[in-house]
Amino acid sequence: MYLRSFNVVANIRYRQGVEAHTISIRASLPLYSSQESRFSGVRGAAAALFHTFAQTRYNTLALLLLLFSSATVAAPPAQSLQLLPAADAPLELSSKYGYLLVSLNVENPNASIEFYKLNWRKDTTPPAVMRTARNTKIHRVTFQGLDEGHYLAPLAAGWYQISKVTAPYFNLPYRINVESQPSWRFRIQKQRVNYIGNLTIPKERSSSYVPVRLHKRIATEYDALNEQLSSLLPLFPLADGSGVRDDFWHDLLAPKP
Amino acid sequence: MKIMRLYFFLIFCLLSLPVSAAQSEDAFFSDLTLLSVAMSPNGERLATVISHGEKQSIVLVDTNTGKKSEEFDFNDLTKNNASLSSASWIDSHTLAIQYSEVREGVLDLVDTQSVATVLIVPLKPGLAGHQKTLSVRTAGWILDALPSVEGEFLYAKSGLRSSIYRLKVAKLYEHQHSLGKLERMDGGQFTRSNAIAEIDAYALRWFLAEDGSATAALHFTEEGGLALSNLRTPGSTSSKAKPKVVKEWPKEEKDEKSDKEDADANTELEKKLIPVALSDTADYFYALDSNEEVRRSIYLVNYKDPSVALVYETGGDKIAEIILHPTKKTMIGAVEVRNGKFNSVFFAQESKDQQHSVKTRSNWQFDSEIEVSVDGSRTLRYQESHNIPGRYYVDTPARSRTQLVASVHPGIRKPLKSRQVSATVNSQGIEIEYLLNMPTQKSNAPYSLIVMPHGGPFGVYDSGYFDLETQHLVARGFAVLRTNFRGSGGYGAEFGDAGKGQWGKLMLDDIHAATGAVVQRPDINAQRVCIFGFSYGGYAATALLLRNPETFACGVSVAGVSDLNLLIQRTGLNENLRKWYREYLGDPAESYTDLEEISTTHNIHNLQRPLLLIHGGIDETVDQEHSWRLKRILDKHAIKYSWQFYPDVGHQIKTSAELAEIYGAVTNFILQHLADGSVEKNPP
Repeated sequence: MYLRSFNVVANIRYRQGVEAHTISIRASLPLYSSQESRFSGVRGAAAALFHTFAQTRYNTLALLLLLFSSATVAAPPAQSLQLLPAADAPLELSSKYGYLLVSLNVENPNASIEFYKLNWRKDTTPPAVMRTARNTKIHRVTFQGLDEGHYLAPLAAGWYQISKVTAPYFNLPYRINVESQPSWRFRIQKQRVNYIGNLTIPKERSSSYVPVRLHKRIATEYDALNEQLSSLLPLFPLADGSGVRDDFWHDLLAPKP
Repeated sequence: MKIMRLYFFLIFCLLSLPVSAAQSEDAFFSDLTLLSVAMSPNGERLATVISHGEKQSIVLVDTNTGKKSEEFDFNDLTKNNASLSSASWIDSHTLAIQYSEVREGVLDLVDTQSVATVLIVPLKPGLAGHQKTLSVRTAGWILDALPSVEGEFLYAKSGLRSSIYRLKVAKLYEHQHSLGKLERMDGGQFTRSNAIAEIDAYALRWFLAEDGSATAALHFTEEGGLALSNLRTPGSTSSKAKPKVVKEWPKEEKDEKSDKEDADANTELEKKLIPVALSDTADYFYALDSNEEVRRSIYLVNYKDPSVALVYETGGDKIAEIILHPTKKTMIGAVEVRNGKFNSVFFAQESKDQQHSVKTRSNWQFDSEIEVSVDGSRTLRYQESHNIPGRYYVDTPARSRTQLVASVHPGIRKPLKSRQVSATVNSQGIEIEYLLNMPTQKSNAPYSLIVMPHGGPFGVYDSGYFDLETQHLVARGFAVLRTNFRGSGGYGAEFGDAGKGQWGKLMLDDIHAATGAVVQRPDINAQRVCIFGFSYGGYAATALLLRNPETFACGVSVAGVSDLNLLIQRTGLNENLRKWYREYLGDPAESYTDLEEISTTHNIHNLQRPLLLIHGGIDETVDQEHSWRLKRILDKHAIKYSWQFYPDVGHQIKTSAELAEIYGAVTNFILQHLADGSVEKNPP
């Protein structure tokens, strides 16, 4: 019996927020073998590796650990969410769903946003720093063909975090990661039309910067919303979809003292 | 009934008498403004840069005769919108003009749609016009016009290797001349042998010693950060010797926010002092803090033997450059950027101690030499006071003559009939300076008072020098009170820090204390006090109107903040600004209720006095939502108010027409609500 070593590289994929990361663990494992490998080629190497690992308890454990840690947690592909013009929104909605309502002023047809649901089921505002659950479904909204105006999409009730805004211009990329910023959160309440703000992505930009904004403008757009959603709001009342604490809407709706 | 109406009409006319007697809005809010002045080396001519609203021109002034001739209208010279950045003299008959103009570039990519141009203009004697205009085609900028050297100047060019070249005017070609096969661009002057200093990095700024040699450069590092490098090593006389890094600023991650930044989120915001000019003391640089909300503070920094001192705080706009005395190399002013234009402002020559102590400066008179001709025959002098807008004089000692050659506001020809009182009041243990401006003409009745808190509020302050808006209101017959409440600039770091967390608390107390002191005066009518301001001033106006209805009869908020949580929790803030807000205002995650308590949206239902709300639809600093929130709550409670919305106006009012319209609306509102001498109360 003689001792040889064998280099093993384990690629471990893990998720932090919506980002998938890969780390490589390179280890030099001893190989105990009583005979020289009789195999050759790739198949031979694999058979020899398994054969030698299985010979000792430690190697078996190492093999199991390697197999376990190598199990990848792939980021699920983003699911496209279709925005509907305010006038086209159906008047029916599943019981656990609410409407996302956004005012768009997106001049870049190639722009998109991604968001995901936060693991937070309380009514109170989620804390500023949130851990993201594995296998979180990513929603992507693209804005091609959407003129300035108000748009709706049915969405499961809950708190959401916009994680990424992209605004490429031909071969010039632009991506801003806003995942850590609570001001880019919104909330969907069931059976409500939840106004999340005015999303502005201008056409004019510099090579490295695009001034993307999500303005909270429920007071500014109050009249326009009531006018454009006159058939929907009696069924699903308007709600402030702000993802951070904002008492204004509550104060406005509160009965006069 | 008709007789009663006639009676009220006559009373209104009498009360409005100062309005008709005074100069109109148009006289004050004119598009014509002087931006900068440069004197020729022989002192015989001045190059003045004039703004006519969107247009700019260069007007030459003969200092002997005072005659003027408009030499360049930039709209004629360039096909596209040009913005002048500087005009300087290469020699007594050659002018250098640097400007940027809009070009087609790549559609929607704004940073490809501007091109910098350097023109060299040989002038004919006197005001007889100019000869063929030359240009430097190699991208770069004039570093030093070398006015004492005939026909030569220093030009900086940046790239992987950045250099300073000494160029000769005689070798340059005519502007837009098509080069022949045997002609070399710019006369082939951009050669290494013609370079007087160089560095293997992209240089942003060069620093020259008194003898004209380059001593240091601010440049990018390979990692994308910034560095300040000394160009001369000890014992070496060549500026091409290997540079030595004195100070480095690593690259900041802009958009991606790491966990480490989260951990640091509550730490105090550090200053990032970037040098902009070399001082008259060896190794000391004038520097600006790029982490400051708006760059208004000037520091004197020694990077070698680290030391930092705050030497000046301007109360105005963002500083782009520092103006040094041409021979003494001391700081005499700054170039500020307002609405995209470069505007020269000069500082009073106060010592650091003088500026940073709260004291009554009764003599707000600025009169200082800012330039001396190379031959010493003439001096350019700048004069300004509370009722005289900036004026330039040329002194010719040999002829014992002083001549007024230019004025910052040419529409205001005579000193305005106003007086100014500067005093202090003790507010919650701190001495607070205030300025009270009033008409000079005697009035039988005490003056109505407009309290005008400044915007910002941090780092900004009201000075006792000329203020167009204040003088406009004084000319309309009002007394105007401006208070430098805690947190204001100009009084040192301790005074500025005293404003932290006091946005809706002690800052308001300070304004109210100053108002209380002023209304004790016999020439002020305590029953006719209105409060009006922009931005933070608009917030303070609304907040004090709510808090002290016994003091204020009416209020006007222009682009005012109403909801602090909305202001802090908006998108588009970088990490530095988020930190700044947490430090100076508070953190909504921890103090939401405290911030709500001082937000006027939360309290506006208690409004008892007339309020005018004005906001612009393209305001990127204080979003229109702030005023709309006040409007919705007031509508809900059926409380009367006045409302003016300007869809195309931003946070800074850009045109004089807009300014005149807004000030017209404000003064009419105030006159209307102070006219009858009583306090009109809204119906419950």
